[in-house]
Amino acid sequence: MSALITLNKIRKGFQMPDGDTFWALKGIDMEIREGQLTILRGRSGSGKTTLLNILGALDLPTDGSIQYKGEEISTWSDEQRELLRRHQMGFVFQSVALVPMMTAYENVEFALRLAGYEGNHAKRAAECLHMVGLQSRMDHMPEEMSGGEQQRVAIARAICHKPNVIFADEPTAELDTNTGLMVMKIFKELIAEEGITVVVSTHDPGLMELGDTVYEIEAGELIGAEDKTEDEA
Amino acid sequence: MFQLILQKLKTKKGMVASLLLGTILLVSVVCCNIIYTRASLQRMINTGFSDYLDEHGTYPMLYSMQSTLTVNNGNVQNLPIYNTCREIWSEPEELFGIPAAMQIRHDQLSKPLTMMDLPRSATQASARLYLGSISDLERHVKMVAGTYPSASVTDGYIEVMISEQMMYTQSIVIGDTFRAIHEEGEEPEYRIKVVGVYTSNKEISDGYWVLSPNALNAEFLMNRELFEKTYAAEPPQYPLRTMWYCLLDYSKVRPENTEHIITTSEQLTKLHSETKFREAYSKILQSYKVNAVKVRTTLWVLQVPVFVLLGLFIYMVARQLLELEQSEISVMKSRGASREQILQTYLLQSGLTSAAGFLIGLPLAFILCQIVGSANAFLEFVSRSALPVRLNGSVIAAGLGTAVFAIFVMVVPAFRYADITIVAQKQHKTRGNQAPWWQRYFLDLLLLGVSLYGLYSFNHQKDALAAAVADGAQLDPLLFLSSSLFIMGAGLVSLRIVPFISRLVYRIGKEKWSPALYSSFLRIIRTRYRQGFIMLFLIVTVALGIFNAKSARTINQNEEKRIRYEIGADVALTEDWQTNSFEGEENPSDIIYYEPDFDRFRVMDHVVSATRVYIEKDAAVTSDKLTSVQLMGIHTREFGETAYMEEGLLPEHWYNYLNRMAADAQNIIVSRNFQTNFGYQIGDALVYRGQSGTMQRGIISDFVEYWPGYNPYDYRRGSDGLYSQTERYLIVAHLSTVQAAFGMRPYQVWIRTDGSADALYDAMTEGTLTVREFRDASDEIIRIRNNPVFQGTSGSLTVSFIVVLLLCIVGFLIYWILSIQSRALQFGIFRAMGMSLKEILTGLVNEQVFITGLSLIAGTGIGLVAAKLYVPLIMISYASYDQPLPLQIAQAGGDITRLFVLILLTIAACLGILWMIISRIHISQALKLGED
Repeated sequence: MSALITLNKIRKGFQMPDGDTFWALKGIDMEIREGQLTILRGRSGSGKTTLLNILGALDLPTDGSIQYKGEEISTWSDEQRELLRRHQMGFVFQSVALVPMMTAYENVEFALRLAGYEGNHAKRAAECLHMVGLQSRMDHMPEEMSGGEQQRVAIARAICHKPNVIFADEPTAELDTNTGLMVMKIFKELIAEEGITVVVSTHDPGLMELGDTVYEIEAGELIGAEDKTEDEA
Repeated sequence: MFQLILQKLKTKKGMVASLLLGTILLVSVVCCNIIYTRASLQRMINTGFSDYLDEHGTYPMLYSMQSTLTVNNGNVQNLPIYNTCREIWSEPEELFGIPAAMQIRHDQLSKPLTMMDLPRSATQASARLYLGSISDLERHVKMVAGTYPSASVTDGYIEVMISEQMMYTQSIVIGDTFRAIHEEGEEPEYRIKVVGVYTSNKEISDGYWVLSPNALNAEFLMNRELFEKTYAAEPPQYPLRTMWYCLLDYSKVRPENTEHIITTSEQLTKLHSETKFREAYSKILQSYKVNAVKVRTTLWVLQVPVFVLLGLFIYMVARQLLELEQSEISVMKSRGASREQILQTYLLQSGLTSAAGFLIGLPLAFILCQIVGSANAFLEFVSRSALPVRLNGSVIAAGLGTAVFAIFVMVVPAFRYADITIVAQKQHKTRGNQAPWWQRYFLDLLLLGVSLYGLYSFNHQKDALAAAVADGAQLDPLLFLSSSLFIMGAGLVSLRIVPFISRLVYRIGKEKWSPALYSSFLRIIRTRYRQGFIMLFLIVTVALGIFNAKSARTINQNEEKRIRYEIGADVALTEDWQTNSFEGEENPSDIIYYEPDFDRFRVMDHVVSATRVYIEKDAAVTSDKLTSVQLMGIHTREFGETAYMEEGLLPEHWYNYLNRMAADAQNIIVSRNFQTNFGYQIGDALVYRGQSGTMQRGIISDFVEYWPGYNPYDYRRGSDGLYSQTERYLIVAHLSTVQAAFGMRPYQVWIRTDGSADALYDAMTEGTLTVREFRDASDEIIRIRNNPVFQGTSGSLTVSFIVVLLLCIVGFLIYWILSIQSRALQFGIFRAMGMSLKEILTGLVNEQVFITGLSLIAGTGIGLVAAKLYVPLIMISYASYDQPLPLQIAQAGGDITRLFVLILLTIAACLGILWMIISRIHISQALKLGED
């Protein structure tokens, strides 16, 4: 299985008020493989969100190289990265982040518009909501839904335009164990049915076993990598 | 608690600043109103007096009395009258509250003198001459010859001086000495020596000569000191006739003591008729009083909408602040703070804000006053002499009252929030997208209905209203209230309608909208109730701005047009013609007039054209028993070039009428009422007669409703005290025809200038032009613009507009900043999903178009409709009762452009600020992706 994203000696520094630089990432080398569920594991403050931001082209590394499908994207312009995010990536955020003025259906349809999805929007949106088990709540406003339901809408929104890869930052942090498991199962199904690559960050050890590859991060450094597919192979 | 408030003031800077701004503006607008009103009234008083001085050439604030003492067998009679006079004369400040500028006393021995042993016999023995003296005379005369009489009897002679005139009429010269007695063989006997001849240095500015110098042409004037010592020592023993004059210092008259002055003078006239108390100033003050009521009401009524808006603004911001603090309040409550404690916190906070508002608002009021005072028209300023503004008790009291009111407005919403616990708050939050109460109870339609009913009933009473105004009534406050209600009601109703438009546009392109437009449309539609207030604010601002501009312009423009129309040209004057008559005893038709050189006007500087217009007010058409027909003799071409005639008053261009008339020397243009009342037709002959009695036949070439200088109606106050109108008739004939028939008689000269009538004024100063009548349209227009009612109206409308605009800017900023801050996360998501900053801004611009833009359009529409409906009614209060022209609502295009430029600049500035805020939002920060 080929690498979708390759990181090479990625460092990310933040300027501190006292003038020093805080290194959130201290030289990371890793690969995100296509069609896998990759889990980034680490405690709060370990740097996993920074890493996820760089993987998702939301942020640029201070140095090091990041290649998406073999292309170096750290030198791309804002516009190029915006288009990349728009068409090829999907995001699911820790705090539920639906547009409050839009119904579940409209939130999903909005993503289709943004990505310039060519097919039938209504059909695709309904299909995605069906996939996350919310076909009956399409016309509900976010505030009328539970946290788990909202998160599932967010997933439907992230996948509807058929991106290559979805990034989910602690998608289960605010959910109870069962709902959390259900969300992870949806990710697994997506990989199986749509061939999407999924990158999830979590600190929940119970979810680790679901990942195909698990990277463990601590203090900005990769301290462990476990590739289950290789083990199986 | 205090610390808590300070903490709050720090964290919610923007909101607190807005509250403060609202309070400052409220205090300053209220105080400015009071200061400005007072200053205007003061100026009216001052102008009243100085106009009197200009017109009559005598001191305007004088009162006089007269007392005559007689002596019978050594008993002095009428002493009480003398004493009363002396008292009233010497204590003006106690009586009127105003110090005297000058007190003059003119005494003479009441019995005439006969001169004996005169060196010459030329003296008219029959002349009644007197011995007297006037206080302070020395400083107000010029000695022509000799010296001022000495203060002591010299060589047994009383020294006196006489006027130059008296020297000639009585043939007395310096050095003459003679005996004088009252009656033959009667004591006392006076030995008089003439030592000086004086002339009065009478100047208008010298109030001293309230007594005519001519009245002294039969009086030997003694040294004042000597006279007082000898004849006027208290109590007086001689038959003194005393004229008492007191000149009050009219610059010290204040609006608040006018009433006292009037009543005191009335009482003195009534209670002390024996003193012959006389004054002329009550008339000036009375007419001031009538106008003062008008000015006061006008200025208050005009400010009402602003007061209301300011109150609403403070309430809105206070509520918004409470909304932000809701969770804090809930937390305080759940920790056991009582309702009272929470209210106390807000009371203290509002108190601090109000106190600051008062301290800043008061000085600001004076600045606002200068703005109001320098307004020449709506949003147009000129530099005028500064208004006499003063800080006094009533201003401070009003300021404090307003500050207390502001506290009240700020604390009221706290009552509701103080009851909310955290549970209730959560419940409240889930609701929210509900129609506001005024929409549920149809208050908007009610307001609109009430205002339209008001409009309807005012329209029905239009004539009565006009009559009342002609009788001196002021602006009906309800009328302005009704127009404000209309703007408010229509604004609220449009809040129902405008969202439909956004929804319609959204529907039309639902499938095609770009993501930015799609999300912004959904937001516009789904949050319409939250935008209600800001939209209402914008709508009312624009509507009020347009309404104010149109009212102010219309008021000024109609008055200006009336003046131009009435005068007929830029300048109309009648020269003083030389005649062959003395004292006008001859039969008018026998008088021969010598025509002054008319052509010299044509060559004067700045004169574009000039024409002769013969005007007779009392021509007659005997066949129809018409007298007082206005006859106008014109030179058609010159008249067309010179006179002012507004286009659109007549169905055709008025040159066409002149051209048809020019076709024949007998042709006349007559007023339309000859046709409507007497059935004349074009081509009919009409015989008219001038004052000279000569008949002239004219052929009617046209009928007109309007003609330069012609007022179709004559308003007169009838015996019932009401104004009634009678029709006026007009005949316009050729000047040459009229002159041939009636002879050469004084005509008016009408002049069109290039804007300056200086040459004419110069000619008058040089004496090459003597006029009987002179009317300068631009001068009269300036006077109107300076008239406190007109000026105050322009000023108030301008200031209220500026205040509303300011509120709008702040309200707009608060709304959008809060709105964008609350959406930071959402923008972060949009960015993460690949939306560019530009697209986000596109969405915001779209929101502006459909929230701000539609509000502006609605506001414009409402403003224009309100102007159309209400300005004609409001005009009634300003137009003079004999307004001959049909009312035209001014276009005020320039003002509206100015208004929009200001508003668009505001929006652009706001968008700039918003852009800064948005571009500072870091995607990753906004998203709070994780906790590091």
